[in-house]
Amino acid sequence: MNLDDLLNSALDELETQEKEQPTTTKTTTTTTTTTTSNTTKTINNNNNTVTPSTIKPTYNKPPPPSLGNDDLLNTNVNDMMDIFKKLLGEETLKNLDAGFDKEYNKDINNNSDDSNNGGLPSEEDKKKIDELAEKLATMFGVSEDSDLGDMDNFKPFLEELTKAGGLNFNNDELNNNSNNNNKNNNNSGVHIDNFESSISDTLKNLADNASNKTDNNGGIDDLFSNLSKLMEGQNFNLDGEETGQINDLFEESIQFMAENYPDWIEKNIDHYPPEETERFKNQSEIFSMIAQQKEGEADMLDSGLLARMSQLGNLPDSFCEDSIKKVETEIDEKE
Amino acid sequence: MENFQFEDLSPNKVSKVYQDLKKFGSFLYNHKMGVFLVSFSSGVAYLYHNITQSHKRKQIKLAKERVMTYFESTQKLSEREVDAIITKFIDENKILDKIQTPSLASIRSEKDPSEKLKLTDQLKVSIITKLFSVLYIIPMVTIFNRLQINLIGKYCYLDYVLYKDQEQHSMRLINQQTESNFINSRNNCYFFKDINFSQFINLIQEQIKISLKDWKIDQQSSFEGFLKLLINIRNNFEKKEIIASISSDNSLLKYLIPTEEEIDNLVQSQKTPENDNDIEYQNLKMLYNEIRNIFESQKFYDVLKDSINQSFLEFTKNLREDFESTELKKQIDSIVLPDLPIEMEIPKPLVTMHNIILLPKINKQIGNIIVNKKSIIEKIGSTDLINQLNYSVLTNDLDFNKVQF
Repeated sequence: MNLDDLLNSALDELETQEKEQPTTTKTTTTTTTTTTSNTTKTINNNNNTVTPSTIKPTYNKPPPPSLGNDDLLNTNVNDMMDIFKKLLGEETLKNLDAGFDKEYNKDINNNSDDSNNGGLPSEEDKKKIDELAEKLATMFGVSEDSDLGDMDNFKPFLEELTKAGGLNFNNDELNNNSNNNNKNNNNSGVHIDNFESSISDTLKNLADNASNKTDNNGGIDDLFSNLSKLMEGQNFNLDGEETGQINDLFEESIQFMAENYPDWIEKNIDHYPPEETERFKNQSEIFSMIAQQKEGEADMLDSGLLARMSQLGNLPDSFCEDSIKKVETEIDEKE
Repeated sequence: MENFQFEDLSPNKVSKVYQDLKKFGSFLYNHKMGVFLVSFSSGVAYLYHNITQSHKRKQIKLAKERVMTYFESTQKLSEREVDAIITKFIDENKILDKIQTPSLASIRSEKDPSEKLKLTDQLKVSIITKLFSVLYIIPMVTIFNRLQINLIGKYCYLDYVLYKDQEQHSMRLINQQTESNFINSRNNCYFFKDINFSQFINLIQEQIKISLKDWKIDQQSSFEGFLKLLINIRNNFEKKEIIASISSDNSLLKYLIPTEEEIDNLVQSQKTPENDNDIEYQNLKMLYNEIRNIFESQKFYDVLKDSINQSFLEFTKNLREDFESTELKKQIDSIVLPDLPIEMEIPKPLVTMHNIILLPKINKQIGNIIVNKKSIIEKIGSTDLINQLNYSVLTNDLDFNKVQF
């Protein structure tokens, strides 16, 4: 086959493609057919005429743009704000918000029935709060007779916590915890080992929560579940030698703060406003004073210092974080 | 029944719990429970931190979901609009007819062999120009429209966040007029404007004339040989220093947006002695400047390259079938297959063909590409690269963790 034949064959093919050129979405089939046949006639009737032509890609009728039923897709691309409002300003956004609130409330009330009384503690919960408060009071050596005021201080906050959906009074859990702890409990008063391990569990749980391993806010639950465990398992009677053991722990923690807090303040001095740093320094000073005082005068702790200490408020989160991590590491090392 | 209200968990409420817990802390202190204080007070701190963090995490999640909903829906909208734009300009307005092409009849009727060859060469340049135009137009219009929509989306979102609690939304930074002047739509597409598009076509055509000088129509091409030719031509347009630098003469991107001079003239034309209200054109200028910056970024170049690859891949995949020889395959099968222990598919062998024969096949594939443009647009739109780029444009590379709610 020579080049001319090849060329003619190519031209034939191109011509066929040209004839098969698509109808456009806006042109009716009839019109297109007429136009095409006219062009063909011109070419056939007068082969020598130079007819202006272009190479038309050949393809079948393209499908009309699918508009779908979605209102959004019928919106003009220039009305982006309208689209935006449709998407976010109205139903979709409301649904998202509703979904968010629902999910959030579900998390917060993870153990309470949706149909409860608006998050307020139920009668049963109130009973549990009373019991817990009583146990705590007993644990810290406060009886209703001796210090009713303190007991009253503590109930509202527990109620508040329950209202926030954070407290979990799950009887089964409490009973299980109680049974578990009773295995190691010979009911002979305070067992500091159990006490420590429960504290350790609490600390570990807190550290776990703090490191955001879970997406729930189980902090309160975990904390109180461990506290409940601790108290169910131990019949605390803070008298005699037990108090001494508690005091040992107190000394240890004061010692820990006296040793570590000044360094921490020094390292973090730039991260807090001056008045905060000042408060930290005051706290640290008191820790040192208590620590020194205790070395000399074992049981003569100045209650004024303790009062001043509580007035100075809580320790900074970051320091607590460090100390919890430290404790956690120690626990891990022991294990 | 009163439902549990979200407001009940506002920071103030949590703070109340926190305060109570602090009282509890001092209660413990007074009873020498030092160890409890350390663990418990820090526990309280954690508790507080956790509750607020949990709330914040959920707000971050919500914000992300909002943005994602917007993002996904607008990407579909963009795909549909790009499909409509290309349908309008290529199918209906036949904008590719701007490519100079000798008529088939004129080639047939030409008696002088050298003139005939000249016309056939013009035909060759015309078809390959059309091929390159289509394979560049689809990805360019697709990614540019996506960029525009997401850039506007960014300002819509900012407006929404700023004014969501107010009745009035009239304070939009980018108003509808600016938006409509900016976004390429089937009714307003700078790229396909007569002179601009003709220049785009000419740029491609001139380069192809040079590149096809040695690609004679009476020679034969293998599939691989033709792929190499395509790569050589593409290199003239797609090198980063050429395409991403819109001040470069050979940059195809510069045809997508008006020049700075054109914008300045437009801004000036809107200023009148009585009225200095040219803000929407100033904003238009700002948007185009943002686009210019994006064009010069590496991220955009990666997306552009990847998108162009998608359209070329679609073409070469189809063209390969034209090089396949069914007859040769049958012969091989008859010889090889009976001896094969297992049944296996042998790829069809490829043959070479005269370039003059290849041309109509290429022309046919151009038609197929246009018919299937929607699937190419969707493929381009669904790649991770384009989505990452556009998500970062929409959110302005926002770090949700640092957002103040």
